[in-house]
Amino acid sequence: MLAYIVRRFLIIIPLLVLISIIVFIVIQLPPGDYLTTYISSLRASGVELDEREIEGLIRQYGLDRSVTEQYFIWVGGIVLRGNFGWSFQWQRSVNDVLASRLPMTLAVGLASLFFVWLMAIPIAIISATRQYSLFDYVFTFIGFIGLAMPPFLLALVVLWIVYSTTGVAITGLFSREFAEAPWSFAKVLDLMRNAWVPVVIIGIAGTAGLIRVLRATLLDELRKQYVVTARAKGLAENKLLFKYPIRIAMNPVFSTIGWILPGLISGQVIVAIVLNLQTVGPALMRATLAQDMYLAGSIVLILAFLTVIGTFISDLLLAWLDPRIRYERKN
Amino acid sequence: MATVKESKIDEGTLASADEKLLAGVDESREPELEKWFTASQGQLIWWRFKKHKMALIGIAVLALLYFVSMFAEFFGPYGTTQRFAAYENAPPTRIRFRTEEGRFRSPFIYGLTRTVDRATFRQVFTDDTSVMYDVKFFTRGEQGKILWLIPSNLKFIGVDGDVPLLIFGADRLGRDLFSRTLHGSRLSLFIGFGGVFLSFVLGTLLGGLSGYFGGVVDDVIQRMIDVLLSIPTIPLWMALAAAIPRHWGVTQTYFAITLVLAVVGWAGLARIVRGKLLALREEDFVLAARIFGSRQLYIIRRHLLPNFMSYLIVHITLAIPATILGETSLSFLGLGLQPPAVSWGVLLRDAQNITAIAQRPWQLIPGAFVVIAVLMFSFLGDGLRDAADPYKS
Amino acid sequence: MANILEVKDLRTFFFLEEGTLKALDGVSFSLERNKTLGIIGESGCGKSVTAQSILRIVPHPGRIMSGEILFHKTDSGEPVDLATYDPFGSGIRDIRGAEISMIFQEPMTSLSPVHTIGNQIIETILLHRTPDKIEAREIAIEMLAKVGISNPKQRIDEYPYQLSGGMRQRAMIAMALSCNPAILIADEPTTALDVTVQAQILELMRSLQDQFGMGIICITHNLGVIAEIADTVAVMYLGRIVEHGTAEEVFNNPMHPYTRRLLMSIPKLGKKAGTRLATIKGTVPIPLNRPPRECGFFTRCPEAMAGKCNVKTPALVETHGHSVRCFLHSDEEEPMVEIDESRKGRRQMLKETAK
Repeated sequence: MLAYIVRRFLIIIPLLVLISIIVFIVIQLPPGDYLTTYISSLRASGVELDEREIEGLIRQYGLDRSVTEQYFIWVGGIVLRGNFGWSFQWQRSVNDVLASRLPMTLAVGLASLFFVWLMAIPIAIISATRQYSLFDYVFTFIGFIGLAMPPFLLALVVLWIVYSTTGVAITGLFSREFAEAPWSFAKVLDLMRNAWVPVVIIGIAGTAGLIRVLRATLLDELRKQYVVTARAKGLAENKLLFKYPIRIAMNPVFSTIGWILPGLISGQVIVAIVLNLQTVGPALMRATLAQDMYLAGSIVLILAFLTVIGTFISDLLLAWLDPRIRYERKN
Repeated sequence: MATVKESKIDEGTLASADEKLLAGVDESREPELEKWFTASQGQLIWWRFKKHKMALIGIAVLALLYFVSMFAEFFGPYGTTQRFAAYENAPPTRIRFRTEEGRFRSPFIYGLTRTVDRATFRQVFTDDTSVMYDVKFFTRGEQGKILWLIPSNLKFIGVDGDVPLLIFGADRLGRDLFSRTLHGSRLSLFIGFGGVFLSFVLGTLLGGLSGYFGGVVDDVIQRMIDVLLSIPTIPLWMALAAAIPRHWGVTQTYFAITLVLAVVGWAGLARIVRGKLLALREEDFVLAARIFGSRQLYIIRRHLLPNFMSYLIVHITLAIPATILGETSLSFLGLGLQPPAVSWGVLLRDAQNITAIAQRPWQLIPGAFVVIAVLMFSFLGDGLRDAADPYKS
Repeated sequence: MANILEVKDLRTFFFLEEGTLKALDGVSFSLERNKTLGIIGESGCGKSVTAQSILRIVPHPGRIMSGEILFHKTDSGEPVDLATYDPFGSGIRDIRGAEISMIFQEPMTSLSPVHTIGNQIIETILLHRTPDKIEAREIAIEMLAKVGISNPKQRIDEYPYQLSGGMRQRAMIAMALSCNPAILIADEPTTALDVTVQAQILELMRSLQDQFGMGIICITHNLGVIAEIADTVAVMYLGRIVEHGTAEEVFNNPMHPYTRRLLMSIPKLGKKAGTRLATIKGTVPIPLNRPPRECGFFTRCPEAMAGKCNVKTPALVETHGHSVRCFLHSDEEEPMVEIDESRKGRRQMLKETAK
């Protein structure tokens, strides 16, 4: 097992290197370099920079060097000093901009993941064990809609329904009085009260997807011979369902983290913009609109990094849960 | 009384029994079975597909959507930029069949008068019941070019008179949302094809190379796919779309967006192509063909392609809605297509905040089109998948 | 010797969209203590459904519609009718695995891949024999040793995929016998195994029968297996037993045309090379919407008599030391049984079984 963990971990490193290269390419993509854009936009707004300042900036970002060197300066800053660069739009370091937004993003993402599991697992179990029942049909249909509706559209519709019936605009993660307040127990409670809306909306698509996968897997497992064996032993129906087929059909819960997590994070970005959440979503949008590429690139890099870590953890869980995978990978 | 026969078995009775057996086979079902055994793969798929009701509904609705989008100039009563002063923010027009006196008559509409509520300073639209305007089919309207070629002013539906027929209401500039939605479906629906076509080319090429050559090429391409699949799609789209120069025209942006969607989307397809190719290479029938001395190209054309064509088609059917959702999301954020181009995403941009939705909830209608299109593609894809899987009963 | 199991006129139907599939249509047989009954037939003849019906694990949408399954726990006491038990109730569950247990065809899939074989054997023992986990583990190790698994103390903690097919089937037998059942039902126990392993498993089953004294019902389409292990043989065709007798009788003096042709289809040593092996033309019809009165084999029978075999159902009649169901031997007809197949009838049946 330990050998497997180490080997699996070693795969991550080239993956992260490649991701950083892609992100760097993306940062470099806009025509002209961002510094020129930045300086001209400053000039346009009436701020004069003297030559020395401009030269300082050029040296700081290594713009006088080759692209490869620029990449290493950028990556070196991140790896060695944890410095993600400077956001021209915010006039602050990227680290500073993301310091409060990133934990919130992570919290909403994890909460959505748990929501997905909490909803999808029981629904899939009931749907599969009562195939072709009314329950099964209803949730299969809802699942289809959940997959077809982009999360931001769902957010808009929910926003409108709640607003037109109650007159309340459900935006933000905090009520007005807590938005700028320091952290306190009351603020946490307030967060809980407000956060379920984005969590549910972000989670719906993932829930629909996971129900589909789980239901199909469980239906397959229910037909397997070992279920009959367990029944022929004299095990009670519910007990045997949970010990055998459901236990095995739970594998996708972990193996799908790899695509559910990026899905949740992707969905969250736009939903956050609609619902005006203090997460990385709106920051990413503003950064991309303003072509503030260090900030945009850093956000993409961090989100991809989180996904890779999530997939890594899911693989470990899977190997721990399923002896077959352990065995296969050993050989 | 039970009569008992001695059971004697000798070769003679056996032989005659065989003949009797041959004669006695129930032959009534043979032609039917024969039909099954000799049917081509395409026929088999079609027969199975026909049983899938939802997929048939999907194909019908999609055909309708694409048809209407191609003839948007005919089905939409107005152009995309035509503005109706005094009808800014107007709600959907009610088509009526009963007059004020309660008599039934052919469809007609009333004009609207706009007043400002003095207490709330909100615009209020009231029906002007003085004049009834007839709703007409196949009328004349603004000149347009059907299919970019045929100049025509024929409209499917219109109003006899100088009030507008706003089936989905108007936006904040007084433009007809119905016409704009129909015109918008053209970009939205066809970007799916464009994006998927590019992913398809990239995906089959790279996936094919990967599966065919194996070794280092395979490793490199596989790592690339891993990387692309582990970067959350929408943020990557956003970052890529950000690189598109703002001053580009509609066509340039369109192709750029298609490219962005394809650059991210090919990875999934490449993985499928590679996996399938590797699996097929090991199949006994491929080995058999090789033993018979078939040439590589012949094997690929005769044995490999037909076998994974069905998988590709299924995957493509399911990839189109993803591309539609991608364009909608990007345009909604203002990173995709830019006005004056019209797409469902661009239209939804007008419903981006609570004030807009509260004032003009009908601006969410293009969203319903997105959901329907995606849903129908999913049904179609599911049906194709079930039909194309030859190992399913 | 005393019977431990008597199946009388058992009917198990499957209610499909296309119609009613009569998987078992009046099956009767009995099993003696310490003896082996072989049930033989082609796939689709209902032999597996017979086993499933006895344990009441007939899959949905199948249902026992009539008949009795009398199980004699002791030689003297009253038998219990398993057909009246609720298939999900505790009554039948106390019998499954404890009194009647079963082994299956595919040792690959009949054990859960993610649980150790020990876990799965101990589970049965804990369920029926002892609540003590340490004792249960000891019994399991002992059972593994008895079925000839070397080094059972280590093997007990291994997963199914770590064992060979033969070893897995041995583990399966250990699990089935772990609670000293009175009856062991073996559904194609050797079909998926190599021929040499097949012989080992059959030998093992025989020696365990001598040790434990259980009755065995061995279901197979392999005549060789039956010849090796069975005391009595029942030949099934299309949901009915067509011939029933001691193994010697059935093999040496087959009376039903189906049995005869079945026996002729086996290749024999000493037969001249180049001669064709007899086959039975066609396949077993699907017992779906069959005419109510007919001999099921009529469509494939070379000796079928028009006006008789296609309109009347022959009865299973005892002649010459064993029973056969064929108009060539007796004109006696099977009595007509009315089964209410409507929804109401099915529900009625369900209520009765629940009692």
